[in-house]
Amino acid sequence: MELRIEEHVLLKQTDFGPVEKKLNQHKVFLKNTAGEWRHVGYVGTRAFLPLSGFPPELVASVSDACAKELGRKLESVSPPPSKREIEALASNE
Amino acid sequence: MPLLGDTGQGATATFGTSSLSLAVTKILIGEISIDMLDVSVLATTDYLEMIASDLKKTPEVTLDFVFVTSATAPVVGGAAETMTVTFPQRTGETAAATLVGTAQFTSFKLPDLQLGQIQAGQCKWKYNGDTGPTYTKATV
Repeated sequence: MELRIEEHVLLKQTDFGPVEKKLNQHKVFLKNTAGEWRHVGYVGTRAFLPLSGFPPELVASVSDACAKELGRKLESVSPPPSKREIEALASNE
Repeated sequence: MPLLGDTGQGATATFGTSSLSLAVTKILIGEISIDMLDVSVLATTDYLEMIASDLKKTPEVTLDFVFVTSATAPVVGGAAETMTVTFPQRTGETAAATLVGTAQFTSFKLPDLQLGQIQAGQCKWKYNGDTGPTYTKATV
């Protein structure tokens, strides 16, 4: 897995010129099978936060790779419930 | 000419510290606005003459989601954190457009409970102007 992590910053305009302000999160990019870098999520203060549509099966391995890259532990955050889980809730299974 | 425009399918809302995982059905983004100040003088004719005020007003974002009783709920008035709306990523884009800044949850509506209706929750957050909010266009 090829992973790239970038610090997420914003530029704030001040009277002294633009100042970079940190957002306390990182952008996570992954190289897909076609060799293209794609933005797949963020690393916040506690966990890897995948974007919509990111395969739930890959969340754990990307989270581990981010933890290794950043040198800190990351919690495991469950992805949002799938359609199947929502259907089960609706039918009281 | 290539087709333009896209729907909201694939958009994401993420929360940098609370790390909430919500099954989002709708993201309503409020407007960023600025007041205009009347600087008309006695010599002014026809229209009011106006200049923009100094500071912009930040948007409030409303999130509708399928409510799951086992999921962690938003904390109204909790500590400020980075809240990011990531727009759907189109083919050819390396990174999608984003609206990001520090914000706090201002409201949380638990679902109404009735027969034949999926439990739906709603929460709102307002960017606090400390960092951002900034809209960044997609990277191609």
